[in-house]
Amino acid sequence: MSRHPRRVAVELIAAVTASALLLTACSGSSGEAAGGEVTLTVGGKPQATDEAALALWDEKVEQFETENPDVTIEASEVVYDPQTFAAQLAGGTLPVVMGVPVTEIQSLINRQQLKDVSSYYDSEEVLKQLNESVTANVQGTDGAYYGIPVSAFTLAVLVNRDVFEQAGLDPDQTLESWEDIAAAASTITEKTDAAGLGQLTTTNQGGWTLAATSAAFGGLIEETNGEQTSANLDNDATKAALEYLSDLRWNKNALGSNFLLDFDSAGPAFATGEYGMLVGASEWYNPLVRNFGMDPEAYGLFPLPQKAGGLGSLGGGSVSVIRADASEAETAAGVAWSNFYYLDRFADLEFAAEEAAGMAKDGGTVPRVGLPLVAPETYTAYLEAIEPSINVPLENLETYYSAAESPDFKVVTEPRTEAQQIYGLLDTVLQAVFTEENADIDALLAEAQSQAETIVAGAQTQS
Amino acid sequence: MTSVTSSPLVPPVAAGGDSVPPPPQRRPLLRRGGLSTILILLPAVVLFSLFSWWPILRGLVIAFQKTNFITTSWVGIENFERVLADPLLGQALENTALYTGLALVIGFPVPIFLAVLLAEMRRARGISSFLVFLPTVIPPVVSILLWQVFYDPGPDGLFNSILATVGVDPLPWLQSPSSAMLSIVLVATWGAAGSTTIIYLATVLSIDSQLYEAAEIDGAGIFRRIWHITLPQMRGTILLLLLLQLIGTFQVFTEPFLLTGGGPNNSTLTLLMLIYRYAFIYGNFGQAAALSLMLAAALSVFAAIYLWLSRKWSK
Repeated sequence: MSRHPRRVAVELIAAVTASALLLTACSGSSGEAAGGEVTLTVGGKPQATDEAALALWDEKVEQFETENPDVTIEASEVVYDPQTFAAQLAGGTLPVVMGVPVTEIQSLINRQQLKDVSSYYDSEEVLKQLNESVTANVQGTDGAYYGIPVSAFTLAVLVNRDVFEQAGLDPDQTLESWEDIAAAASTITEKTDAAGLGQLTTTNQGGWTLAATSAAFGGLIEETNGEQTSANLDNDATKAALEYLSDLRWNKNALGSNFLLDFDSAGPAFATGEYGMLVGASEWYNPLVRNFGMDPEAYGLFPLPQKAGGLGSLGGGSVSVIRADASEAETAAGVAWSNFYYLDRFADLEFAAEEAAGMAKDGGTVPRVGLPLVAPETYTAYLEAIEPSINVPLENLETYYSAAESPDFKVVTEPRTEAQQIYGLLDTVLQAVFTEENADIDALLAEAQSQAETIVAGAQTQS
Repeated sequence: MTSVTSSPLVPPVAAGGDSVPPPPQRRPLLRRGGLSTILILLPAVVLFSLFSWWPILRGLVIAFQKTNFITTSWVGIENFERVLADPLLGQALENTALYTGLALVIGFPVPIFLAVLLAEMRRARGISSFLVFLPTVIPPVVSILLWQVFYDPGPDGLFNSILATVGVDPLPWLQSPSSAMLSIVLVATWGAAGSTTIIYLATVLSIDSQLYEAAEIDGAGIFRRIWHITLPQMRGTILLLLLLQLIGTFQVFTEPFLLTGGGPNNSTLTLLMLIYRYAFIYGNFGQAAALSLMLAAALSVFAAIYLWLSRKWSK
């Protein structure tokens, strides 16, 4: 018996629809199995090409699963990427646990995409040891904690020591003021083929570094009062910072000729000696040495000088976060994994020594360069425990670490509301200052201020 | 031509010829090959549904929503209002129009010129066509990175080194708001001219050679032949490719994204880059969808008017 053609067509459409629904249904799955067992999806697994890091990762996964028999780790190479984050979240393929930059976390909190993990800050000893300046970054305006800081840094003056020596400068001589930096930049430009200072200007990194410079000059680009934030781009410190940079650009000609720079373009240039200095994250030792081939001995680090009334160094780092829709069991496992992988080394020195030995053997960086996550005495004990495995020339970073241990060292948190958009506005201001000799800084800041007020007000209305 | 009466589907007309033939019977879809048609169409329909039509429909819906992809709420036309209030929208629109205009002035005549030139070549047309087409097969990211090196603003940059040999000071290329967009148009023209040239060349080579022979007998020179024969014969292709170019250039993204990131001072920020920023930098997919929708609507209206006008002129 032949079937009616319309019926055939309907059946085919039904089959296709059912398949599509089935595919959709399969895309989001719970990590909980019967009997309290949890399968935890974790991002940040090193790429297969980074054999040393991968070996260490696999070792730690095995160790964690042995210690936590109810948890199975399903690792993926997913790292935070703003282009895919939302799509993966929507499609159910975003790992339950992954690292995100501190810059992004307030936006993710505002969009309610992260799990509140405050209760673990009361129960987990290792979380109680974290510095307040570091944990402040993961707090929402409601005071709750939305992640676990796993690395921290401040913006600092990164120095290519080889370029300094070529210019006849002493790379061990601390740059104590912004005038010192300007003088060094001029000398490098005059005496070598390198440009004195690389200033980032694109992908919101220009705004980020300008915010850091403004803070060191005494001004915040956003001010927070309780849960209310207001834009404050048009302030005296930011204006002074822009005038300082404009002078380096147009009068001292010490910034090179490329004014569309982000770390992906400035990093390799700095590593190969095309720039003498860079204002950037203190933790960039790792990408500069491992990815861009910089000689570890050439990497020098000074804290950002503070003008009179300077507010401190802008902080940053990475945070291990958990998806907002994770179950309680997944959340508990995610916190346990984050503590185990990133923080237990500070609480268990025997474990720290073993781990460091393994990392050094596999070619990893020991210790991780940046701002210590824990109190100075805890960090010193950690350094002593891992001493035989240390392979970073810490003597070249001494000035930075000494400053960071000082009680006077202040860490400024990133803007809480729409940081990326605010940084984007400052990118534009910097580009204008660097590409138009007579750029009107007052007018540029006033325009950026007006746009920032709209953005901040809009974000606060929506949240 | 096949006779109607020879068709087995239509009953022969009765002798005398005055009887009305019965209406043709509609055969079942399956017997007319309907199932195989559906089966052949199915993969394309499924793929287009999943990866093209469904996302378009989702985009349409998201334009009226606020979503974090965990919770979603309806916000009416708020996303549209926010986009229209954004001071960058005007600048992005202006930049996009500037890019489209420059691409029209610089990029549009180049393939026509190259196609006519290639058609006139008696020797080495094959290798010349290959060389013209070559930039098209280089992946855009690779070619853009190459151009980034060419545009190095320092005195050692490739273009600036060449200019130095004739005593011209280094130019800022991508580093100046006044020259950045023009520099981007040059890159885009270089990358896209090859494929368009090949289409024009095919049109030129299909022109009846008798027209040229007649013109030659009448004493027409090469420029008169091009002006009075080649270009009029290419008219249909030119009008179609002009429409495609206008729509394509209005959606420019890759070149400014990779070469300048929209800078300096937002001088190369285009509408698609603004959509990208809304969605992927600021995480506001509602605004991104709203602007996409407005752009699609504007381009559809433009295309409809263009097609109507070009049909009217062709009559």
